[in-house]
Amino acid sequence: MQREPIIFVGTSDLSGHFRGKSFPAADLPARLQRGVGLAPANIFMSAFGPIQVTPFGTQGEVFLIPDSTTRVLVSVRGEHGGAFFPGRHQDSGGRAVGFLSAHVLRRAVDRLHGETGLRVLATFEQEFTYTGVEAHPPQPYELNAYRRQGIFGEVLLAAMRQAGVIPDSFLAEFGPQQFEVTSAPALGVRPRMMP
Amino acid sequence: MHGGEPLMTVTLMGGDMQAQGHAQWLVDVLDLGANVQAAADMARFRHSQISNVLSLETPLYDLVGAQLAAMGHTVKSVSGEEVGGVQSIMYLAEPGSAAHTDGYYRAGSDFRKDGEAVGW
Repeated sequence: MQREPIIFVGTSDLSGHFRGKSFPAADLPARLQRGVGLAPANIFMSAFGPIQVTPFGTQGEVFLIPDSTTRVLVSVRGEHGGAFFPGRHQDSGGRAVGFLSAHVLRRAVDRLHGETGLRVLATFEQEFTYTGVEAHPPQPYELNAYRRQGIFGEVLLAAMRQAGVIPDSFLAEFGPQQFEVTSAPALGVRPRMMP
Repeated sequence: MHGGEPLMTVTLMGGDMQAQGHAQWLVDVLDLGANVQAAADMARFRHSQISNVLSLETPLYDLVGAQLAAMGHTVKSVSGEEVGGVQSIMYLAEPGSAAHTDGYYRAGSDFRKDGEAVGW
């Protein structure tokens, strides 16, 4: 069986879904410059998947540009899981697409600084359900729960570090199959995620 | 951070209430001028994305619950830990002193959970 390496570039929407497209890995140098085009319909894709009916029509082709500093390679149980890049949206003129979550966040922290002189030094925690581990009555913070998840935590932390996010801690949370990872404090929004 | 120096820290626990609570707490402090304890005490609300239900602590529910319901929103009155628990510390430099050489701390802790602000 022949396989061709492909690379995925995506971005997180407001609901936390990571959406995008993949392309042949051999095309990466060019894709780092011009990205991949996203059909106008993507603009109206809801956070839950369906394409919404809108009175505004489908217009505004956008491009998703891989951030060259965030390449992530993931391998689980010996199987190469492919590479992906977090990316940034821009329009055909190279301008930021203003309603996307990273740009909304950038505008908010810039306005906060402009109006108050304050800068945000923030850490983030991500709580999630890991379905790769058997359901079990809650074992919050327990070593037993930590060990039952196997190498997933190690793979996750490695992926975060490859993407330029410094891991802080990883733990079993209160719900069955629920885990949590936190990132180290960082100021504002990474400049490379902006056009 | 302010002027490159730490100014205040705030953490609010409670699942998806965390981001909602941080935003409300910042509005209380920055826009309404509350100190950090008053901001911890002020009523909060929580919106559940999946059920699309807006939970308001009783004082807020009494204030705007009926109006929101009349507009078609699903609202309910709640109290306690459903709106998370917050702790905060703010550093204030002594007036006239060089920044961060002389000053004092203010702290706030949430009545909705264990804990209190203590200094010595």
